[in-house]
Amino acid sequence: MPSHATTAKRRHPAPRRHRVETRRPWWTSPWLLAGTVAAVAAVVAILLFVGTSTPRTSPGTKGSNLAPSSVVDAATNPDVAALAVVGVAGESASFVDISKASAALTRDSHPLVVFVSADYCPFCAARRWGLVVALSRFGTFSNLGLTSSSSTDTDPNTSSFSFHGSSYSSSWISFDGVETETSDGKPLDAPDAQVLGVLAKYDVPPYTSQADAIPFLDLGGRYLSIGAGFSPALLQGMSAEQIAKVIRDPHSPVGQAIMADANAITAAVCTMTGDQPASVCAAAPIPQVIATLEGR
Amino acid sequence: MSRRASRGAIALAAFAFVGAAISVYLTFVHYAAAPLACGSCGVIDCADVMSSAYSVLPGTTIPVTVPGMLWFAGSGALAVTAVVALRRGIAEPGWLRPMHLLWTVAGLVAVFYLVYGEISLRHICEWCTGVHLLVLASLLVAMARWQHSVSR
Repeated sequence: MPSHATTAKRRHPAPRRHRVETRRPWWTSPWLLAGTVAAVAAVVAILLFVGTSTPRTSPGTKGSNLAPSSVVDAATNPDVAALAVVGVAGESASFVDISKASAALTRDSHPLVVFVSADYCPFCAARRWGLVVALSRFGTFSNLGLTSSSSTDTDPNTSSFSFHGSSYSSSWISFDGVETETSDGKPLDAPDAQVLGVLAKYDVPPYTSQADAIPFLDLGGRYLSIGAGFSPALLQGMSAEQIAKVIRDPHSPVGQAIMADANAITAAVCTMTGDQPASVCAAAPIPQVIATLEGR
Repeated sequence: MSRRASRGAIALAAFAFVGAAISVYLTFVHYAAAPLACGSCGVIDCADVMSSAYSVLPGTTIPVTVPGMLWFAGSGALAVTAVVALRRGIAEPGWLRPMHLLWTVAGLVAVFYLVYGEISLRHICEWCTGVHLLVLASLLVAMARWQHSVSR
């Protein structure tokens, strides 16, 4: 038998509560997190599609490619033993002592190496190999480009680095590499006022038979070298990768030429830095090359 | 103190610490010209990415790891503010979670640019990918924390 209480409940049922459906705003939904992950994946997929459908380029290089890491690694990590074996046995550009005519050339409190060249120039292409090898012993290049000389000039399509868009950091020296024109003769980098002053003073007779000659290399206002360290004909028909493969080989004519030029440049740089670092400037054959440079 | 809220803030602080440590290391490698501890096999090539034009702020020689350090420092500061408030049993400032969410969204935009750089170079850098994942993880946690605050 039902109790009174139960009977009362049946007679007077409690007022029914109506549930009010409150929709949660979409931004509080757990699906927002999943949607975010999906959106990120979609953006990466789009970037993957766009990025792989264009040639490998880099901002600031205006169409010239970055040098492959294998080529950069070979040139910027020279074999010290091979450099000692080669010495300056190959051809070597002449270095003119301008220290008596020039004040020391500096930037950011370091001796400054100025190199003015152009992508189209085959002699510049040859010079850059030794220059990159030599300067890598004093510091680090970033963003070295890859280029080849003009297809219509002598020694056409000579493969080399390009300094356009690159940077260099060193505890010993500063470096300003200026590529004035592209391989097809279009304007590229503009020399700054300091470099223009150096060119006005030294890229003229009697330092060169013809004004505005390239490649132009001023080593701290101490030594001047205008021209290639060896003939670009030596590099004919070789890709940058093929050059990189022999750049540390003391038995290869190409390796010998590049390393001999690098040794000459290294010795000239050592005269700028007070023979520092010793690990570079005291290593064979640099002391002998310095002695030759200084006419001792 | 909500244990869940505290866990989220601590996770954000941890992500920021690890990300800042990676950024400091990569910045040191850049300026000291020290060898980079990373692989070079197939698509993975840290040295190529870290020496590319994408490794510096456009038009400068400042490595992108410097703004990376600053970003993680900012994220860490916001996370620590939350952790301290929660530990003291006081309410987090109302602006904190929306601000952290906006900060991580800005970080993700930068990550998209850097990922595009890696794709353009056809190479991936493990350190960079680690940092990118930390930014994404920070975004998701910051979003979850923000959602929790607006749904209360």
